[in-house]
Amino acid sequence: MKELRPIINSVLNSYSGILFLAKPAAGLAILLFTVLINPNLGLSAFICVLSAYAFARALGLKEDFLRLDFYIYNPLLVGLSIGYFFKIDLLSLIFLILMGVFTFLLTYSLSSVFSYYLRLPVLSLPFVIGSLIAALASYHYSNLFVKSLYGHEALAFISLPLWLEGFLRSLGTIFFMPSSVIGLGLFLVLFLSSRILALLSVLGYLTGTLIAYLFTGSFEEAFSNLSHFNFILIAMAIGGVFLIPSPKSYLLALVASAIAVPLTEASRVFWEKFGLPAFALPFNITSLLVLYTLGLSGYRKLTLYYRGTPEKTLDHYLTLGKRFPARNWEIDLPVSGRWFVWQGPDGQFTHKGPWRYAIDFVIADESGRTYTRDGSSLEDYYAYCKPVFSPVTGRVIEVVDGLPDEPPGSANKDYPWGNHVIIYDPRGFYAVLAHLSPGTLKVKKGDWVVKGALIGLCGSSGYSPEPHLHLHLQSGPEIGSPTLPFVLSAYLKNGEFRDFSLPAEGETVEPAPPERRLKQTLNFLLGQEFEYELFKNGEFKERFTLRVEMAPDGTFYFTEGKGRLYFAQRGSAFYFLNYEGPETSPLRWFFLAAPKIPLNLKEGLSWKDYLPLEILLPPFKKDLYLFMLSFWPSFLKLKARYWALNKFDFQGEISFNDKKIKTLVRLDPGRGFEEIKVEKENESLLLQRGGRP
Amino acid sequence: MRKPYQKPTILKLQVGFMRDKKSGLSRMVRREIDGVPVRELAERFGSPLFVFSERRLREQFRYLKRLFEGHYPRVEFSWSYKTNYLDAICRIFHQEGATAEVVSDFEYEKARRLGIPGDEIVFNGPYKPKETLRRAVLEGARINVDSMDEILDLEEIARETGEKVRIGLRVNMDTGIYPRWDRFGFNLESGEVLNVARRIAAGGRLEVVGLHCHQGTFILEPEAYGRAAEKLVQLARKLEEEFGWTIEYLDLGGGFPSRNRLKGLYLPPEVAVPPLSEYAERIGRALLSGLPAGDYPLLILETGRALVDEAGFLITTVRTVKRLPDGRRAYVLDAGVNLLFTAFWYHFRVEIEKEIPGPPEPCVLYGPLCMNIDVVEETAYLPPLSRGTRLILSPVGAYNVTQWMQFITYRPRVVLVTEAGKVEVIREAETLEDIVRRENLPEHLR
Repeated sequence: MKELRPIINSVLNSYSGILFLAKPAAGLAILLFTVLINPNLGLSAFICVLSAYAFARALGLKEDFLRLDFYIYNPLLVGLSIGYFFKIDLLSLIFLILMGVFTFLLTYSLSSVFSYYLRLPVLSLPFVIGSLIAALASYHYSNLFVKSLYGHEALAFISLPLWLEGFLRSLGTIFFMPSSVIGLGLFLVLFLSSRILALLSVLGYLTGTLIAYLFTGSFEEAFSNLSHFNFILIAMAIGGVFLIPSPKSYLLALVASAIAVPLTEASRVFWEKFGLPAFALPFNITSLLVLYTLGLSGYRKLTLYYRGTPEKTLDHYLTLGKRFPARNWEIDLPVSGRWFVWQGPDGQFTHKGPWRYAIDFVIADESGRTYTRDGSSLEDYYAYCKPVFSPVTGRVIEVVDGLPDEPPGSANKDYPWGNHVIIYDPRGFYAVLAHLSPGTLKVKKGDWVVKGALIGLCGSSGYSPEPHLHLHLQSGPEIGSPTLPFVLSAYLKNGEFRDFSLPAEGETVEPAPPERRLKQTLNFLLGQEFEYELFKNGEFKERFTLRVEMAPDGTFYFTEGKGRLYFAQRGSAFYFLNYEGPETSPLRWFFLAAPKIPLNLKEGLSWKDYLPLEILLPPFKKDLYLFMLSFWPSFLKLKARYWALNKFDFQGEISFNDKKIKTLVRLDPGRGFEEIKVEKENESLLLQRGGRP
Repeated sequence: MRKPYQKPTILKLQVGFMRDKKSGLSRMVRREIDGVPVRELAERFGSPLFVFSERRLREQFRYLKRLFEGHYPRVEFSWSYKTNYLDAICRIFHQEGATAEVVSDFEYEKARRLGIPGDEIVFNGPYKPKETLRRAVLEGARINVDSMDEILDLEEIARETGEKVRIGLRVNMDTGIYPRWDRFGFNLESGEVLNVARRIAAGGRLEVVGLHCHQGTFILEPEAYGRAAEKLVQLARKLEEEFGWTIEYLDLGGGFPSRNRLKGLYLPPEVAVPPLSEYAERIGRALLSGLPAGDYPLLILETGRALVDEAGFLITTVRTVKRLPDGRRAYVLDAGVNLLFTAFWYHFRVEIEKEIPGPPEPCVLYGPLCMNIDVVEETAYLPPLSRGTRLILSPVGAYNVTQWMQFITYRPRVVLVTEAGKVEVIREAETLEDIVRRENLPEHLR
């Protein structure tokens, strides 16, 4: 049974996948609808899916591939389209199996071509082609026609307003069951799984159909046109699935539904000439055009990782955007000790125009002075001759040495950059360190340097009224190319650990190098197992074992059998990246209490973080919040603050609108998490390491 | 302003020895310490009196921290308790982020009493009593092992607790300076360290996580530290490769000089003592070039003297004026070698609380003890002082208030001039009661 589970999930997901959901329960509901209400249709689809799946397995494709449900939702749709016309008997069975396998091959190949050349999903294009081929081929299959063709009876009719009935029937048409009862059932499935999708389906349908009404002039005709299901699919795909839900994506969804109106009508007229139904071609064309254009224009809120519902995706991206802003390159602080940001990006002196993304560092004492004694000689300056490290891993492509250090107060206008080093980072940019002291450079052109390698000593060469370090990233290899925005991967600001951000002008920064023992403590290895006991309000609840496993993309995760809690050590901190799994799993408490752990814990160190709502809230409430957040991104006030008690223990306080959660984590040196406490308003949870002698 | 009256004198003219009387005088005057007049201090708290400046302590700590951290990213200062273990002084350094470096049961207990957790204590020293050692193991202190017998002790403790004990090895080596302190720890060049490491690995109860090396005291050669750091890095790599340990810290000990004038050193300290920045640079350079980028062990520095010496002053009063048979003037002060242990190797800076007219002439400063060795300064150049004149001796912050002795007379008060300018007593003067409390008169002698 256990081995069957992924197969069943995968098949069920292909049903819910048609409505852009990755929920086996929703898939089961749809499967039951189709089989119970029209056994012919339902079973045909099921047979088609199974044949595609079996073929894929026979080819040796792994479950991870088949988890991407579009591989088999296309055969499913083709099965539906065949089942719509033909009864199940031996003949149609063969036809179904053949078309199932064919559609799978088509999907597999097309999706590879699409994703490689166009970076686009394949959507239901294989279905459109597959079902057209099935329909065209069956023209001449007299035997099939005679034996299997069957008529459709209209299902019991409930009197509904025309627009509502039109909407529900269109929704049903997606599954070749144009009835308002089915439509209602599908809408309920949609609504229970995702309010965002439910809203988009209604809005998309109404937008498209109302425009069609304007053109045709007939309310009746507009709302009884079943090919308008295309508007529903377009709105959902654009508004909630392929773009991250936001007011902008909603607007784009409506625009896309509207522009699909002529296309839908045109394709209906075209295919009718051949006596064929229009299928989902307009949906595919419109969505792919919009996505391709947005992709080319560099639209920033494209979904790269769809989590199963728009709500979950939004949660993921909100968290990701706050925790790891990926827009800018991240580099390491190139100095040691506490430095002062003399001039930041868009600075008041020289960081302007194309050179605005740069930082000048100096060292200042408690009173803010950058020198001791009277500051008349270079040696008086704290920054002078301090080591400078490589902020990136890459190749040194330019080294300029030999320009003298300018005495304090003067500057070399002819060679403003002074002695400098340019390092090419294979991520695609160049890092520049400037004003180095002559004769101190430890690298030469062509050297490969790693992050943290010694480059030279801070000096005062070039346009430098006092010794300081200039750092920027640029787009080209020539000194003075336009600069690029960047963030520092980790640093300390007055005892606060900060990551993936940039200090402001006038702030101090200090590197946060990891402590070796803590690094080892949080270095979890593949196959390691940890046993924990869970107590709720002091009462023993359960005992479970965490295992470390690896995902196909190389990320490691903890699992207790059901959920997956992804983690990684990045630079100077340990992070829980992402959680997938049931809402009841104790893995969530790990994420809640320790979303990130700086690897240099010591008393007084504090840090902030942002948590995904699925970790914090019960499912329904969470989705409600996310629904609101998709309209007003600033609706949520979430603060998660943590501070170290000593080298291995830390506390946290999460305040969420007006609620508070307190956490405590104890690490066992060299052995990982020892104890996690979570105190909520009326509940206290304790996770304790057990199973050790 | 009217010039103060000066008795007319005739001075032998010496080439290259021309003195501007005025500037020479004002250089020798110290009216106040951190804004508090010397006179007021002496009148309120008595003479002799040790005075510490909180501002100087904190500034010096921050200066050193900034200096060393600028050259190496992971530095920890461990306050050497033996240099000055007055609670107030230790607390100031701990507040600034220093851990504690102790070398005995007493110092260990004192640090714990001050609230320092075990894992923030570096435990050094050639003799660590077994009981204290056991406590240190249980409390997670960083123990730097000095001898094979100590390793045996620790293995026994590890057997009792059932857990591996994490230790540091104290190493002595040739860094090109004299004298070599080779009585502490295990020798590097002879291969002793590696033999000991093999023995430890074979024992299976201990794990080496740190290396420690203390070359000596008042070391005037920055390059010696560079060489020590280089050798420790090489040793660490060898130990990691051969035994699979992770060396988490390299402890370079202390021994950094202060601006004190050593006896036997002709040049003034401003010239003879290299600036601390050179030490930081050599250490940083050696570590950075020897270690893989980004994966840095912690560098522990046990600076004592360099942090505290220049923040301490001793106010003392001329109690008797004498003329020696050879014609030199001599003054008897109320503070002698009983309070100034460091007088045996330093020439202190001697300052007067006010301007005193008259040409400086060579004189001798004696302490109050009835002992021939009680000489604070054999040759000082001072104008003629009258009885009751107060002198300020500095720097005296390091070692004196730990190595002073209760001998012949009482030990005086120690005060701290706070950053706010207030004066707080941080150690009361001794009384007869303090001294006799520990005594016991047997019944038959009463």
